[in-house]
Amino acid sequence: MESFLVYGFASIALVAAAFFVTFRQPVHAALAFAASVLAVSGLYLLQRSPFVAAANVVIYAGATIIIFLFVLMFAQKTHLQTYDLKSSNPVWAVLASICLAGLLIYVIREATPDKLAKSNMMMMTPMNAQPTVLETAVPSTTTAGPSEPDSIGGSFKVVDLGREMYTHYLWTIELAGTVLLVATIGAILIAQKDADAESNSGAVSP
Amino acid sequence: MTQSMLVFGAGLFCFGLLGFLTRRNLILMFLSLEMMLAGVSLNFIAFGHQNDDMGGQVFVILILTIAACEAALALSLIVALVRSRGSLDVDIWQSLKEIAQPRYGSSAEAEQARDRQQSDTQEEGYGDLPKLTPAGLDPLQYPIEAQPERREPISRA
Repeated sequence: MESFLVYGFASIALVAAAFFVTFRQPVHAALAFAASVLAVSGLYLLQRSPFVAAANVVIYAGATIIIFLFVLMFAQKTHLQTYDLKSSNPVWAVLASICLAGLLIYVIREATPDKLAKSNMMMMTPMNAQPTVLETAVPSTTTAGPSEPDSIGGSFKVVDLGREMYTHYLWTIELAGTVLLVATIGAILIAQKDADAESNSGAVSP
Repeated sequence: MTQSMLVFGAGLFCFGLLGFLTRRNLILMFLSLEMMLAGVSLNFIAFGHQNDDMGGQVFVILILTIAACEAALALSLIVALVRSRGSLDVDIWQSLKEIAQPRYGSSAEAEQARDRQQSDTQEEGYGDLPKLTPAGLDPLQYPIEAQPERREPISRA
């Protein structure tokens, strides 16, 4: 059942991504992107991340894409323009993307846990056969780590995520809030019309 | 299952790359960047799930935050660009390239850009590109006066 859900959500996400790349109407492409983001949220839910799945739906699909749709409908002309109908260098772009995809999938397929364990063993010389303090403190996932859990529920609760965020990753969260504040100020300043800027600046006379 | 997730993340990333290289609409180019971010987020969640670590989820929350800020700033910049030249095409901004770089494209906007290439090398200033206000005051018009000499501080007994 779980693998059916995984492949179902993943196929929806990839098909929606393909539609996003190929649709000519910009609003249709943005809606296909929203569908892809919703499918990716479903994948997050299958990976024991309920809070991130909900945050993705609300923030990404709910706010960011809506901003994009607003600006798209504001800046776009009525009929399809040439920049929507003709793409620049499609053959080279497709070749580059296929090469990158092939390379990434090959590398991901090669990095199975048994090959990683073999490379770990090859790196350990006979002198370092005793497990060091670091190895006993941090359990390695290749030899005796936790196996992948079968159930979707698991022990990840939002309480644990909140505790982790505000104790171990406190600096990260505070910096993210600061970046949000700076971005708000910057977006308001940039979006003002040039006439306001010219009338307000009296520092240097032309 | 982690391998499948990594493959799907790579697939989303490559679709985003394909969209970015192919599209000429400024907003859809930026939306392809967001799709690349979505692929990378899936990677983070997959590794967090495999290693029983919450750090993957925390970083994806950070990615969502930064992507939202980036979208707001980029869209306000795009609005300013559209107000300046009136089109969402990225080919009309080819005058920002280096002077020796060839201009490409076969559409009317690209030919306009090519014509502008000839005039860009000759005209002074930056044409209709936005002018930034220089920081500070012009020292020729607001000369800096010499600082008064400092007196020794009176030491209190």
